Amino acid sequence: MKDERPVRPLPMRADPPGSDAALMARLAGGETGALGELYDRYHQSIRRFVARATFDGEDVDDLVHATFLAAAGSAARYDGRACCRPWLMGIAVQHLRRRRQARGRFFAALAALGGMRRPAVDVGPALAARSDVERALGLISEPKRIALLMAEVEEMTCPEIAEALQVPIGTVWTRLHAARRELRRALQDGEP
Amino acid sequence: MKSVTCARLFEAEAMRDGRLAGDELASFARHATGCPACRREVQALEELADVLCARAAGDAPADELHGLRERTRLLAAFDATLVSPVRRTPRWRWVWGAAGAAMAMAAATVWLMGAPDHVKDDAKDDAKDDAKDDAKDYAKDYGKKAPSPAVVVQAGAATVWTKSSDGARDRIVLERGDLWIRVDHSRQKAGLVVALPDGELEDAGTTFTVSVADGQTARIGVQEGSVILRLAGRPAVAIGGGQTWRATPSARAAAALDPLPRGAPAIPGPPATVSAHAERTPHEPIRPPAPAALTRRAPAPATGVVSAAAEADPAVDFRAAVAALDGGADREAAAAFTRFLVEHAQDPRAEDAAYLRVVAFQRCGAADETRRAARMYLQRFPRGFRRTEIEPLAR
Repeated sequence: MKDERPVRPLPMRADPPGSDAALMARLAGGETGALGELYDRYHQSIRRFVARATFDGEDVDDLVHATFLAAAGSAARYDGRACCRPWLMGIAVQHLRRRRQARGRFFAALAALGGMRRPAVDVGPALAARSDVERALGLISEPKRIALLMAEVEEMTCPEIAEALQVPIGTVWTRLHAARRELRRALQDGEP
Repeated sequence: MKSVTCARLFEAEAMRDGRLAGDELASFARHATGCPACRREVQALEELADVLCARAAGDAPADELHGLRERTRLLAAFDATLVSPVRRTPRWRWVWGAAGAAMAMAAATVWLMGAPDHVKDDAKDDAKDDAKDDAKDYAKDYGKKAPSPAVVVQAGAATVWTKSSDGARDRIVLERGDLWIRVDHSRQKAGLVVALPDGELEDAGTTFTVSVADGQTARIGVQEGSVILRLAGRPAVAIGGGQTWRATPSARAAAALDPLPRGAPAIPGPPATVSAHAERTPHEPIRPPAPAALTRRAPAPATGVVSAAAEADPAVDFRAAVAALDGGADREAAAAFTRFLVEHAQDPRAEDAAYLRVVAFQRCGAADETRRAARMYLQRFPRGFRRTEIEPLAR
């Protein structure tokens, strides 16, 4: 028979109860309320980032939804960093990339079926209605635009961007340089 | 008229991206104060950032009601992922199946009562075969294996452990030896807690092994998912898939000074309702732990080291090496980058690691090693991004 001994209280988690790391630990345990808290903390900034990055605003809601759902699924693999916003942005970028690839395949299939050229999306009227900055941003490629927005608007460091985008840091520097060059040229001359 | 330019103009962007540090940063800052072209470039980059931020500030905030609707949709979708789909069998099939099975069982019982022994043995063999056939039929009908228990535990030969449940969650008390545990969270809704002599282990959708020796936790290896280790008086540690936690010698020494009483769990739980006796399973013994491939600096638990097991995570290794460099542990950082280059040679961060290894050696003041590391960088990445910086160091 086992010895009985007095109750010895165990220390609680090292993460402060309200911290992102503690929240992710609860989420990893399947706690739905934790996902609600995560959404309340970050949905606005993630939504703004996705809306700026996609530049068409059509399926922003679906992308934000997919980002948080994927975050919940990967919560057990969260690395415990203090703020999970860069991590969430990395997930959002993966979904953006998948969406772009899926669209590319869709248009390629359409073109193959109909023997026609890819129907170019007429962004002219939409761009004309926007400010010069928006128009210039809309004309640079999505990977460069995302890197620039992460660096200048979201104030992420280059190593954070490299980790979020899963690319070498040299690629981040190259994209940032090209994005700034194209944006400045577009703002000065009206085209990238 | 030609615009005035400067050979150091590119450093304005390098400074903005955090590529300049220390003396380089100070040097360029001094230069920019006296160089109109560089000053203009720095200002232009700042204005560009201001323009982007001003545009971002002008974005209309999302409608609050819309946000609430989206929140509800998200939580409903998450709840749906937690509930595994249940395959329903039509009621009439169940009724006919039950009636048929009852008749067959009755007939078999009557027949076996009057049958000789060798016939009974044959019947046992047939029953085993039938069980196998049933499993095959199940797999054929439903496209998957027959359900296995939600919590599967395999123990080593000398392991002493008990398993109990309070209805809300399962609880395993491991007194000594090794356990291999798999928790299927599609059916095991409640969590599983493993009580250890010196703490507890909480699973989070996991396959893992845990070893206890000399009255304290010795090793935890996580194959899938993650676990949270809480040792008495020490901060919690999250151990992810592919990682192995080991108690450090200092932790063992500390435990020896303050030994815990043997034979009782550290965390008293609710009364056991299922079983509370020591079990020894006939399963094959657990493999001895594989030697750790490397020791990480961060995130380092207070009592042990988390090390790579079968599959090291390159992201974790890279971050650990960068953390060492940031923390001023240059020699350790150089060693960590060297290991990274050996273990993750094809990783996209290999070039960064090779460059940072040179930086680490340079900070140590190890001239020969810096030169060798620089040559290695140029050899592996002849068109590397930091080629121009590395070339002088390789001479």
